[in-house]
Amino acid sequence: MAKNGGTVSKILAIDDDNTTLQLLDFFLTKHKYEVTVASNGVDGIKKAQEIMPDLILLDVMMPNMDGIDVCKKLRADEKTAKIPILFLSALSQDVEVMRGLMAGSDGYIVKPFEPDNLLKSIEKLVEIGG
Amino acid sequence: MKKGFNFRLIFFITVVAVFLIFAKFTAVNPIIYYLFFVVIIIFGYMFIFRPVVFIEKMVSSAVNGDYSIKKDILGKAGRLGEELNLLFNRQMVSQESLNILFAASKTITSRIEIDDVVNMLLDLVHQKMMLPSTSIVFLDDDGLLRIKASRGLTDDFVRNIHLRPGEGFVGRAFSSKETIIINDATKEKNPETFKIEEKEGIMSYVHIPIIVNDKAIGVFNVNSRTKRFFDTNLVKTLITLADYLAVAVGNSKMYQEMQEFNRRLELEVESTTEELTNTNLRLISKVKEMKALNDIIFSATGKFNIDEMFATVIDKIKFVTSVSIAGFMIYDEQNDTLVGVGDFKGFELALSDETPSILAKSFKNVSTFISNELFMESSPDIQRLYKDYGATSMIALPLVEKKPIGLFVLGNKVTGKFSHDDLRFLSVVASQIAGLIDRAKIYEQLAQRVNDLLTLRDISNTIKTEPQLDEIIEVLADKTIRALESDYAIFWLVDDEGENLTPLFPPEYAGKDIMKIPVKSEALITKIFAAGKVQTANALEFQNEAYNKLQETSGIKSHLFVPLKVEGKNIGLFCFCSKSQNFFNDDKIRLAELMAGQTAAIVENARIHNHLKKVNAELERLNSVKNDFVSMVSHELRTPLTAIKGFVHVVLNEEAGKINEQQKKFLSIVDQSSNHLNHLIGDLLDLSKIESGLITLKPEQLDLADVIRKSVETNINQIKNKDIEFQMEIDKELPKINGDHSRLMQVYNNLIANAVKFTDLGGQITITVKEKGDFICSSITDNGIGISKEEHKKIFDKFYQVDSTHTRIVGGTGLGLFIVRTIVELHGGNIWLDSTPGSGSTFSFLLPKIKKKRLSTGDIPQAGQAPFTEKN
Repeated sequence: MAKNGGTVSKILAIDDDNTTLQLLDFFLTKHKYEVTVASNGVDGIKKAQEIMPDLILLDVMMPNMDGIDVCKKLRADEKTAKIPILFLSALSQDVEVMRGLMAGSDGYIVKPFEPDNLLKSIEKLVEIGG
Repeated sequence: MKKGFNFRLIFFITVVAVFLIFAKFTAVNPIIYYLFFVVIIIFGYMFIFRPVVFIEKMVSSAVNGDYSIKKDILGKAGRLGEELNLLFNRQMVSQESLNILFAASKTITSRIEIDDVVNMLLDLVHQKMMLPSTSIVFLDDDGLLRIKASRGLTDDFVRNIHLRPGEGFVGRAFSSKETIIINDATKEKNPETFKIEEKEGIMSYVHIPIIVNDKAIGVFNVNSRTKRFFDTNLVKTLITLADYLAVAVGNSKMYQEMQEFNRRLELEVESTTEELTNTNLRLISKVKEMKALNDIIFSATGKFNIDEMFATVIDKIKFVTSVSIAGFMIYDEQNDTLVGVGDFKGFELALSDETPSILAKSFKNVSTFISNELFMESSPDIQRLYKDYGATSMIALPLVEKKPIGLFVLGNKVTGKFSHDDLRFLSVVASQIAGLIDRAKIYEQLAQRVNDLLTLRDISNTIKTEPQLDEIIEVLADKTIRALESDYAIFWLVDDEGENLTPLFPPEYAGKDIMKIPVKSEALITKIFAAGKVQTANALEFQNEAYNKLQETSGIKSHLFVPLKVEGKNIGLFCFCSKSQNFFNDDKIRLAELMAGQTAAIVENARIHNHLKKVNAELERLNSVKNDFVSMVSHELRTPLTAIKGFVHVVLNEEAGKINEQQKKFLSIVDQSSNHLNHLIGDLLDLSKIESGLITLKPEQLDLADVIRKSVETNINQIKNKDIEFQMEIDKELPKINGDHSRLMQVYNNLIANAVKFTDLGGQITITVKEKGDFICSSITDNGIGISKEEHKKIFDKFYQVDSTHTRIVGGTGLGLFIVRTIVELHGGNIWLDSTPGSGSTFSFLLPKIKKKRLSTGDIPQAGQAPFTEKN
C-alpha cells in the first residue's frame, strides 16, 4: 500500500495546527508512509522542493500564506508542478471547495476526515502520481 | 415444325419398303420393277434432293449476310424453307438490334422534337428491321388512344384505330403497363382489330406500353406478317426502343415545360420591368420635387430674420418652379390688412374693405386660387396685379400655421400654364413656408426660452455621473447663479434628522454651525422655507448674525428665495442675492420656478444615493462579517474535531497499543459523539446557506432505492443497537428522478435517524416508497412516541424542538427537519407529518419524477470524500 515501486512513498503535510500534524504524522507513519510536516506555507514550499514528496496534504486556512497560494506556487514551479496535492480543510462550502480545485489541486477532503477515506484517497493519488 | 418433312420421309421409306417386300415375295414383272425405281428416283429428287439443294443455297447466302430470300426459292424449299426463313429473319433482326439501339439512343438524345424521334424510331423498325408495319399510339386529350405515326399501315387502318384504355390489346397494354405479344393473330381474333389485321395481313404483333414517370402515355406497336415472329430478344430490343421513346417524351415534356416557364418568366420580367420603369419615373419626379422642396426649406432654415428668410425663399421658389413673380401677402393683425412681401412689395389689401377681393376671399376661406387668364378676372385686386405687376397667370395659396397667417402668391409661369401638379407641389411648399414664417415670428420668444432650457439641460446633465452631494451642490450653484445673473447664493438643506437647515453652499459656510437655522425657529428664513414658494425680497433683517454681516459686507440689496420641494416635502432652500435693488424680475422668478423642481429632484437624488451607498456598504460589511464568521466557526470547530476523531480512530484501531474492552466501548462513544458534533456543525452551515440563499442542488438522474439503501447502511448501527425491526417496501421498477444525491441522502439520513431517536427499544420502523402520479412518495413510519397535532406544522420550522419531556433525552439542534424540508422543497416536492401521540409518526414527502428546472452547482464533497479531478 505505502510501498510504491519498492520504495516508501513520501508525504508532506502542511498545516498550521500542530495537533493535526501530529495526528497525520502518527497515522500515516503507521500506514508505512514517510511523513514530513511543515507548519506554514513558506516552510511547506521549501520542504516540498527539498524532499520532492509523492504527495502533499495541504491545509487552506493558514496565517501569512494560505493553502490556495501555496498550491498555486507549487504548481507554478516546474520542479513541484507534478506533485499530487490533496487539500485537507475544514472549509466545506461549495465555493471554497471549487476554489481549492481551481487552484490546481488533485482533491479536496473536508475536515474532520474519516481516516480510512483519507488513506484511500492518498493511495489513489500516489498511484496515479507515481 | 419438322412434321411436314418427317411425314414425307416416312411415307417415302414405307412405300419403298412395301415394294421391296412385295417384290421379294412375289414374282414381279421386271418392267414394273424398273418403273418403280424410276418413280422412286423422281420422288427422291422432288422431295429430298431439291429441298436440300435450295436450303443449302439459302444457308450459304445467309452465311454471306444476305437474308433476302426470294419467294420462289421459299416455295421450292417447302415448309423447311419457311422455318429457316423465320430463323434467318430473327438472326438478321437481332444482328441489327445493336446497331438499331445505338442509332436509336443517338437519335433520341440528340432530338427534342417528339415527332422527329417518333419518325426516326418507326423508320428504324420499318426499314432496318424490315418489319412490314409498325405504329405509335398516344393517349389523346379526349382520353382515346390514337395512332400518332405509323409505317406500312394503310390510311384506313390508321384512321379507324381509336381505343379507350383497357379496350383491345392496345388498350390493355396501355392500362396494364405490360407488354402484350400476340403470336398468332388468326387465333386471338381480337374483335376490335381483327378485320383490319386480316386485311393488312398481320399475323403476329407486339404492343409495348410507353411509360413516362410511371405513367403510360402510349403504346408502341410492331407487326409482322409471320406468325410467332417475336422472340424474346426481339421483344427486348423493342422494349428498349419504347424506353428510349419514353425518355425522349419525358425530355421533350421537360423541355416544353422549361420553355413555357421561360416564356412566362420573360413575360413577367417584361411586365415588371415596365412597372419598374414607371415607378422609377414617378420616383424620379418625386425626388426632384422633394429636392426642390428641401432646397427651399433648407435655404430658409438658417434665417431667423423674417425679411431675409422671405428673400431667400422667393429666390429659390422662382428657380425651382420657373415662375417670374413670387411673393407673399402676410396678414397684419393690427391693421387687419394683407401686406405684400417679395415681388408684391407695396401691395396692400385691407380686409375690412367692402370691395370684392379674390385674395381676401382666399385668405379668409383658406382656399386656393388658380387662374391662367388673369385678364378675365374682374376683381379689382387681381386687376391691379395684372396691370401693375404684369401678372397674367397666378396661384394663391393660403399659409396656415394653426391659424391663417397669409397667402403665398406666384405668377407668370415661364413654361406653359399652372397645372394641378404645380398646385399640389406648391401646396406642400406653402405648408412648409407657413411653418417657417411662424417659426421666424416666434423666434424672438424662442431664443429667450432656448436660453432657459439650456440652463435646465445643463442642470440635468450634472446628475448623469455618480451623484456626490457636495459636488452636485457646487455645480448647481455655478449654473443657477449664472442663469439668474445673481452675485451670490446660499443653499440650505434640511439635515437627515429634519431638525436644522444646514448650509451647504458657499463652501466656506458648508456645515458651519453659525449659518445653521433650526427648522422650528421663528426666523424669517424658516418661514420662507415652510411657505415653500419662490419669493423675492430686498434687504432683510435676519435673526442670524453671520448672515447679517455677510449682507452688509457684500452689499447685498435684493434676494430671491427658491424653496426645494420633492413630492410635497420641503427639503431645502436656495437663496440668490444681488447687489442691485429689485434685481429679480418676473423673468428671473419664472426661470427660478422652472429650476426649483428639477434642482430639488437632483439634490434629493444625490442625498438618497449617498444614503443608500452608506447603507449598502454597511450591509456588505455585515454580510461579509457574517460569512467570515460562519467560515471561521466551522473552521475553528472542525480543526480540534479533526484531531479528536483522528486520534480516537488511531487508539480504537489499537494502532497506538492495546486497549481493553471498556476503553474500546468508551472510545466508540467518543467517536460517535464527535460524529454527531460534526453533523451539528454541518447543520449550522446548512442553515446559514439556506438563509443566505446559497444552497443549491447538483441534480443528476438517480435511483431512489439506491439512495435509501445507502442511508440505511449509514444508520445500521443505531438501528441494531436499539434492536429495531426495520422494513423496506420499495416499488420495483421505481422510475428515476432528477435529484441531488448527497442532499437526498441527507434527507433520508435525517428522517431515519429521527425515527430511530423517537422509537423505543425493540420498536418498528418502515420505509415505504411508491409512485404517486407525477411524484414518488417516500414514507418513514415509526411506532414511537408520536407528535401532537398542534406541532405537525411547526416541527419543520428552524430551531423548533418538540416540547415534550421525552424529547430532551435525545437532543439536537432543531435544525434537522428544517433542512430536510428545505431540501425537499428545493427538489420541487413537499413534506408532511401524520402522527398520533403514543402510536407513532409517519413522515411522508413527494419528489417529482422528472424535475424540469435544472439547478447547478459545483461539487459538494461530503466529509472524508475527495472529488478527484482528471489527471493526465
